[in-house]
Amino acid sequence: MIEIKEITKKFTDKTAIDKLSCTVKNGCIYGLVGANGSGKSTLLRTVCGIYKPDSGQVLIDGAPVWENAEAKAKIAFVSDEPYFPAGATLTRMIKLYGSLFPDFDREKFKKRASAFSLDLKKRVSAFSKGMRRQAATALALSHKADYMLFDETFDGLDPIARGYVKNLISEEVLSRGAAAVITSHSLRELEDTCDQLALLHNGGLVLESDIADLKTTKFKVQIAFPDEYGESRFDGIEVLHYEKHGAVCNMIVQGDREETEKKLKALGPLLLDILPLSLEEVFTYEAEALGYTFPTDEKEETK
Amino acid sequence: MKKIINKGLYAEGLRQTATLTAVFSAVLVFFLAVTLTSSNDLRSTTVTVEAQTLAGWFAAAVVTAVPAMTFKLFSFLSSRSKSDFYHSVPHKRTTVYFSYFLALATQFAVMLASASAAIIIIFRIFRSRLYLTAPVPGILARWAGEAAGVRGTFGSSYCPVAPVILIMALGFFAAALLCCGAALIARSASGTAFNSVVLYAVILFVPRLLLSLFAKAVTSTVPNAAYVDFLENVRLNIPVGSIVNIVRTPFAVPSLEFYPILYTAVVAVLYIAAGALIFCKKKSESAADPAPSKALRFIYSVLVFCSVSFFVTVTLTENLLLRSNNRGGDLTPSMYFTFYGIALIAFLIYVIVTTKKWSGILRALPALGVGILLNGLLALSLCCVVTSEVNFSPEPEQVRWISYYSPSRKDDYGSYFSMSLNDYTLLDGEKYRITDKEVIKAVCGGLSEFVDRYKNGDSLAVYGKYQKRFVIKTKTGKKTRVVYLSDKEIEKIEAALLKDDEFRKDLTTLPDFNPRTLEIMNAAISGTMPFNADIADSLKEEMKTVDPQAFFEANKKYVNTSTWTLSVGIRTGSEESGGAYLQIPVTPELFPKTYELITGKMPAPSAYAQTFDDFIYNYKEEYEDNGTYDTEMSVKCPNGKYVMNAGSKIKDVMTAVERLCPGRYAPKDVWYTLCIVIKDNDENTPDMRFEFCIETTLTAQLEQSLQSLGFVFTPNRPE
Repeated sequence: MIEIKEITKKFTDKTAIDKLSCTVKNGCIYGLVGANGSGKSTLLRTVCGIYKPDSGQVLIDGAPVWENAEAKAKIAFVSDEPYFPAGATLTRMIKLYGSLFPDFDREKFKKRASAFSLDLKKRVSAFSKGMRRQAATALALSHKADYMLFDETFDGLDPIARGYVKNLISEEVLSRGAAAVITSHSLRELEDTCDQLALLHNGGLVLESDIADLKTTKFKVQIAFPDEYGESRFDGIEVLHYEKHGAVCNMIVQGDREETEKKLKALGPLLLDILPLSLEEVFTYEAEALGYTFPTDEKEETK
Repeated sequence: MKKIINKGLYAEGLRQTATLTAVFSAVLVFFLAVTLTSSNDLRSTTVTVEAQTLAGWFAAAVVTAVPAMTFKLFSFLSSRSKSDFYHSVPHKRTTVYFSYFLALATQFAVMLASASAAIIIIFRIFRSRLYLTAPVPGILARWAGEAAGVRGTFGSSYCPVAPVILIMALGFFAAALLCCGAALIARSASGTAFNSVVLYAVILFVPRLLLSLFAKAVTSTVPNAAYVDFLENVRLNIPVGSIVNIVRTPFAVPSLEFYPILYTAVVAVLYIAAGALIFCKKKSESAADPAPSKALRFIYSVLVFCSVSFFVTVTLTENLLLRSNNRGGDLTPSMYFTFYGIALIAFLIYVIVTTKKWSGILRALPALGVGILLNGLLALSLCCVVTSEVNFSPEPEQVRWISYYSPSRKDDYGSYFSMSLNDYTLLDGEKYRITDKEVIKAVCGGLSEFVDRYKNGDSLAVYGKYQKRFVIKTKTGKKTRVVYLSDKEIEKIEAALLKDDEFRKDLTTLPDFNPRTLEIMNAAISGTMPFNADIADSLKEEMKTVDPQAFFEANKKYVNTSTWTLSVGIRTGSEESGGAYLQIPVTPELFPKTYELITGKMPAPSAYAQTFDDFIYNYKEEYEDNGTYDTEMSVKCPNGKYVMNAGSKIKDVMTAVERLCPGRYAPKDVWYTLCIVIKDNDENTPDMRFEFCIETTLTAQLEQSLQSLGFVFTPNRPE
């Protein structure tokens, strides 16, 4: 289990993480979303022992990770900019990883590299950006780490490779009870992979929830009445977001779907339509409800 | 996991530096090969190569290759992605640091070994024409040579190649570690390549040069203050000393000396440890930042300014102090303005490069202010030290004891230096503390007089008085001073010294020495003898009963009058002296048995010939030219004859014989005493017999040829 306890990490003129706490249990795929500069990468680097927190602690199976070789051996980290030594081939990387990570499985790596169609003897510097990410991911997924941290790994992969990587991560989590933390700008990428999602904003965790809960308890309602009405008509229903255009009103509602539907029907609407929300919409509305808004271009990107 | 070295990281370190190692090794070997073989003379005659020249190439390679390789391997400290990788591996930072350091050390060893092998091979190929010399070969080289069974004259005309080159490589390996330590500190303390290079240069050169310059300024402005080798000798630091040797006339080859190698290795260990500490403390997020913090950035700016300006300040202050006492001092304002200008320009360039903004200059002005203030403090501290040292003139009652020091000291040459047993015993003069009030009064008087003369700008030397070194102990500490004393005062001191039982005992105890290196000297001969072991035994035996006072006087007389008394020279490599060549006068009064033993067996004296080369010269010049003798000295072979002339050397004889008697031959591990016996026709004078010991690998042909000349060979294998 990864336990993050009240960690704060400051850089010269910025607090990247501010008293953040959370837990990632084994067998869980944990998605971390947030705008640029929200602290996702800093958090991952602190978790895998690259950065030392200014305060607080990161525990891996109960042991502090900072300068703890045994704890770090349980972690696989794929950076947003994977590094390979100059002139290195994947054959050389196998040797390096084999000597660095005690449980590195050479055969497993070769199988995965082959699935990505990566040439073991070719210099990594000659690989495309996506291939380099594939190589880094294959290496990370081959040393039987209990905790796998992926920093925007999916962003540079093509859809087929993305699907394959998602499968591999799920396989590792299911077969060995490992845990994975994945950061991304794109909620859509995480929607079908993660068990848990967290929203990071200005170095703090503003939302953390199971995906199943998020999807079943929040939904979109389109409703219209013949008479003039306001938001007060929906007293007794937990409305997260309210928007009215003419007689039609769009709402994001939280609660039990069937119960809410009954209550709304009892109001005698001309039109009633209840639609499921995408995870992206859930997060956007949740964030807005908490007073956080993504910058406009970020919104565009996530859409 | 808890290991300090990880095999994989070590191997990766080797891989990442392999290309640079190969390139630098190839360049070094190329320049060495060109240096050794470029002389046209090599085709026709013999060529002598100075060890110093080779050391220069080694130094240049080490000072440039080592930081290049270190910066390359630790470049991950200036790139976020690389830094992330190395800091996320399941090993402690110390493991990453030391695994990579070990990889670097291995590559340095490979580079130096390949260069050494190339030199040895080239010397082997041109063995008959290429000779290695050193200004004064080092103690280590001599030890190594002797351990390898090589003996003979390690003088300016001959050096055994392999031991000397291997010791030099060892010295430069220590130098490489020191440079690596400096580079590691620089790399760990900064995040950009530019800053690392600047810091590396500052860390490597400035402390040693500044310390030496400061100490030199003190000893030049306080002429009776003693030279302190550790403080003043810039050549103790092999990389710095070797670079200084390139730009100034070399007096020594520091990489061949024990103390520079030891000093360099110790400083290297300290630097490497400091590098490890900074590396482990460095925040990985500071990768690519010029400095980990604003405070450090400020300090670096100050350092850059001070690295140049400090040297100008020390020199300027020294000259001002000398002028204030009418003791010279070069005050050329344009020179100081120029150098301060250079310091300022270096500072501005640094600021602009690191901040990448012109406005950075304005923000860096406080650093310049601090730099100027530090220069002021340095000048002030030099004045304070000089004033305090100059004014040291205690009253006799303030002195607890004094000790009399040998005038000999380890100098820049760092090699065997010749001295009497009196001086050798007094090298550790502090052992013999003199509390005699009369003696203390005399020394204090001499010191007071010296200080007065200095302050008044008078001449420091006094007619009829001699410079002597003392350690003077007062309640505030010890100081070493040079004092001018009269004969009578010196006699008082020596009398007090000879009352000390420990001194008497030490004076008449011979240090350990190798009997094989014992040399007999008199007006006619200088060299080792086949019966060296007998002489050594006899000398040791008679030393047990020799009268210390008489022996002390004999030593003084031997040194003072330069009489060509029969003497025995022994070499010792004791820690105190750093190796000394001790000359012991063998008079019939002091050592009757030894005297008899030597004179009974040694060749008849000649008034002139002292070495083989001198002998040939003298023979031709003094005997042949005045028509007394009519002989020809030549080497004959079936193919021809080499006639020696007045300028002929033993080396030329050997070369000529090899040329006349061609054919490669395997070296034999055999030592010969080569004796030349030349007879004259005058029945009233004894045969002149000259012995000269050389080391060589003689062919049967050469032996025969030399034997046909009357050369007598006596197998003399080392035991």
